[in-house]
Amino acid sequence: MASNPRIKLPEQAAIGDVIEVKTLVTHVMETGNRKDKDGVVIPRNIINRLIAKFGDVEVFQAELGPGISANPYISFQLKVPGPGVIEFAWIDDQGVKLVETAALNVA
Amino acid sequence: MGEPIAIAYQRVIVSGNEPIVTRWRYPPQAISPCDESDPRHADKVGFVHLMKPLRPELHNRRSFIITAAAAGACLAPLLKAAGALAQPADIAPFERTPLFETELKKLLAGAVPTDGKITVDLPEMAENGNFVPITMSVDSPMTDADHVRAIHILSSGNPVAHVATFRLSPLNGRARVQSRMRLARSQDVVVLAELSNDEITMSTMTVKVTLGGCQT
Repeated sequence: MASNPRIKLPEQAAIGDVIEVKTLVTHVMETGNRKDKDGVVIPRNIINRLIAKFGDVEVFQAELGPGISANPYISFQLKVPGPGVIEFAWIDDQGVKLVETAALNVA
Repeated sequence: MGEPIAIAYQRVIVSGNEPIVTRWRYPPQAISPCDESDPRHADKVGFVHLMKPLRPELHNRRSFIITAAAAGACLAPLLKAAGALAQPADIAPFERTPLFETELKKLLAGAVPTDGKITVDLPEMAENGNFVPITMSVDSPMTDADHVRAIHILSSGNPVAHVATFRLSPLNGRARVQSRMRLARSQDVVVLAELSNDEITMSTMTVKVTLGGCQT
């Protein structure tokens, strides 16, 4: 299960600026290839999707495979459309969805 | 004597009293970090077992110096032999998996990829295959007429070839994505970018991995 989402945005930005959006979340990203002590395969459980929305508009989407490290860090760029809130949703194989929002402050 | 011994000496000092010498190379087939059913995991914690030096008697600094001085030339071949074992012998280091070829064909869908528009920042040598930072940027104005629709990462040596797909649009302003990936062994990492004019551009990076990430 994903927990402890962290999002980093610049403190202030101007409309039209291209900013870097950094996201990090705690998750085991279990690959499904490892075995436990009894030799039983540990079932795959990864975050398979990260969706970022500004208002109702999707601005970024990542489809992740097991080749992404545990506690996935993903950063992308965003052209500042105006003041508002960016909503991030991480969805894992068990269907658990973690949602976090971050305010975009515009100078 | 000379160079290899100096390095080995320094590494032992760094490790202090801990029974771990992180820079030693160990044969991975000795124990798999991915398979905890291996009985040799029983009395050890995580990766520590992997880090056990080939010659524990060298741990003690004094005896190490003496041994090193006495053994001298013997140590270099030892290090070399240990290094040679770092890759499992049954897998050629840069052999591409059939799964990778299939996945690549699927993404290309018959198109011939162009070269040179993607910059991929990946270390040439990755010590820990569990966390390999990757930065991809595509040279694109990101306008409605000309932008990057998607960036794909494919791994030629992981059990699952598809690593990630990032969907972009002109709203991003710049086509640059960063993440961290797992690499099971030394391999080629292929990054593909789909452009709005249906062009596909590709970049291939070769990464050498010291300790493979439990994989995919």
